[in-house]
Amino acid sequence: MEVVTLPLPPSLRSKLQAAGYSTIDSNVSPVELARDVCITHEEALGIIKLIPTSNVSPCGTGASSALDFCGQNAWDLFRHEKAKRRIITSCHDLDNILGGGICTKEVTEICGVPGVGKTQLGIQLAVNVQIPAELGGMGGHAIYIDTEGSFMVERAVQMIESSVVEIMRRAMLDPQVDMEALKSEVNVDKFLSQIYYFRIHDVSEQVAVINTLEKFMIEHGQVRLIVIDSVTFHFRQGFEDMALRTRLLSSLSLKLMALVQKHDLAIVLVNQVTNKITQEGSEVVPALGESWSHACTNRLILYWRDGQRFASLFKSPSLPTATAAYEVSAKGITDAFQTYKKAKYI
Amino acid sequence: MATVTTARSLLKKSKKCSTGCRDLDSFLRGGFPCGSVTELVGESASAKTQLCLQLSLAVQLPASEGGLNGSSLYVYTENYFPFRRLQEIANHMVATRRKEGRPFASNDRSLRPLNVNTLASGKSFCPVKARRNLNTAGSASMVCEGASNPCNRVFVQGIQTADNLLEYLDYLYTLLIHPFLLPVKVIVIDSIAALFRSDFDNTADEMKVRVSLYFQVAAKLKKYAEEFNLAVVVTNQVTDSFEPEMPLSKSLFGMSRTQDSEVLVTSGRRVAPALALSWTHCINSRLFLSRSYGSGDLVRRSMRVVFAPHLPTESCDFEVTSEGVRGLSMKLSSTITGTPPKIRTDPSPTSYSDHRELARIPVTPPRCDLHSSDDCPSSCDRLFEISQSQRVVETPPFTPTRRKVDVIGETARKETITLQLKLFR
Repeated sequence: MEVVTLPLPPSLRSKLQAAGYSTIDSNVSPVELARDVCITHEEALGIIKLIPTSNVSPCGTGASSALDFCGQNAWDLFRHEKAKRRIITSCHDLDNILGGGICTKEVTEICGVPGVGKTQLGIQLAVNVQIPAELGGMGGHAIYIDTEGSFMVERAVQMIESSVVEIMRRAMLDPQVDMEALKSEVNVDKFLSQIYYFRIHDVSEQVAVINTLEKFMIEHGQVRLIVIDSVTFHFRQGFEDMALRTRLLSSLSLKLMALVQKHDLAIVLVNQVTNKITQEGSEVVPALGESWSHACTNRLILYWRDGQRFASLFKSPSLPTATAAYEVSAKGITDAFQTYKKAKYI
Repeated sequence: MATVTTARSLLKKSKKCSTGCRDLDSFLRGGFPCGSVTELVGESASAKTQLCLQLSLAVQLPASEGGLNGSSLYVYTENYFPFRRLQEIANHMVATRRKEGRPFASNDRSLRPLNVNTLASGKSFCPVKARRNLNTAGSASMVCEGASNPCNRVFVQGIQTADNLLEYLDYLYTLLIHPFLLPVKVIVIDSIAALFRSDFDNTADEMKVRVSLYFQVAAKLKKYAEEFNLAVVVTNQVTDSFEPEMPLSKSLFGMSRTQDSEVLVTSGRRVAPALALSWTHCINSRLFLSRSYGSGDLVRRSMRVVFAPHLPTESCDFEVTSEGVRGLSMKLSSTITGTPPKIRTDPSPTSYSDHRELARIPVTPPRCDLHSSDDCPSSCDRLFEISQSQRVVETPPFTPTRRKVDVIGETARKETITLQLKLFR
């Protein structure tokens, strides 16, 4: 390993070079190195840690850490982007404006007034992520972090039942699918046992659970979706120190971002809305303030208009702002009724 | 501390508490859900309290009848607690059960009879600071005596300010972890609006405090609901809704505060639930109780699901009789999107609801016991006439003696002191 390529402070690098090290091997002993270069044992250990153990040179074909260090090029990112998988929402129009569904490796926020269907969409996604891979789904598990107590398991059962029927109907049309194997995989019991449920009672628990998610992911590698319903509830009580709240929230969002980058999963955050007092009166805006709106990759706003539920993609780095009508029925999230069938693009 | 479970194991845990009426239970898919907060919202005299009273008794029923075999806690903030009405509903419930040979849940158990004295002496339950006079409703006139009286398992607590409520909820934890009778399975707060509507100004600062309090109260309630698997029911008042629809450009995507398809109408006026949007985020489900007048004294009552994670937006008619709140199953209208409850302006006298009303008029007119003898007081006939003209037999009158609000006393005291300082400096 070339000494010049190592990310070292200049003083150390010149000491190494002065001692005659132009290249350095990962199996050099730290004691020897410290003696040769006249540095402390800790510094020597630090240097050895920086040396990648693989023998592949930076210019080779494999992705080495040195190249990673320099970043990826946009072409690689584009390839990754295309490989991203999506969780369908069960409403075609909504899927269309989202580019096929809720994207993995991204944080999506859903906000809206009470009763518009935020929790319904959350539960629906936790069901849909489990659609088997051979039928175009992801065949993954889901984590549902419930801070408000709105997760109703009987509602989840309803959605799963109609989802199972739909999966079976689709499987019938596909001759390659092994129906027997599918039946053991796709049933209400199985689906329910693949939704991991956390019930959170206060802010510290919420932070703690999000901290432990990383470890939980290692044990449950199948998880492809995390729903936090809602991220807001415990942050709206008893916070005297608003700066502390902002700090907590931003560290929380950083952790979620890291999690989503590292694992092939989607994170869906449910947010509430609040009245913002302006000079002309008040308006309804997503809660948690301005700084929080940077925390998510996509923001989906759910609202009522003329007795119809609409979802609007308000923020997205890659998709245009668009609106789609949807409906909540006994089956779960569905397409809107005839009159509102067409998605309206703004 | 939060632990992870799977949705499958939740299925076993999820329970509902019966409302005490089969038709309403089937409308609510089994009753009020445990582990979540349900709000009953409606104008005054829309039977919110009636339903809560009935619920606090129905929770004592055995599981086979939809109850939870537990006791209930009733926090009242508005009026004096309607002991007499509770007793009346309880008597009816006990009587029907005796007739059918089904005992009330508590009868099978060997229970320590509970009275105010044992509670007051049971200091171990009460931390010294937060000790309050906890009464059971059973201390009112008793018909079925001793431990078998269902009112004995309705714990009653009056609360006058929002801060007191929060303090009381802290104290409540000790009550919940030491269930000395049946475990508490229902907490009723009647009403939450009274606490928050009185004490706060409309300034931005006060609003902030208020919203923070909403969330603190809700978080506590939800914590208990989940930890002890109990149902929490709060009632809320309504305000008249004058607010014109907001111009679309101003609000975010024309996001309206209420679901504008579902304007809440009661007694022919448009109303909105009291307490702001923030409170709406604090509850899991909202049920709207409305009443509308036909001709004369006829009242049509209806319950509608405004939002609930497990229920479609449907509505269901009900009536209030001396036995309690009874759903009218034939009127169950099932719509997915929901249409506002239509106000019947001119009901034909032969309509369904009229039959129900007419059926409630006693067949034998109420006369005094001495009517046949000569001792009958002269007012008897007059009473008879009145009772004939009063077609609807509603809740028995209870005296709404408002409790003295401590806050005023407090401010008064403060003002006295400042005045004294000014005068005698």
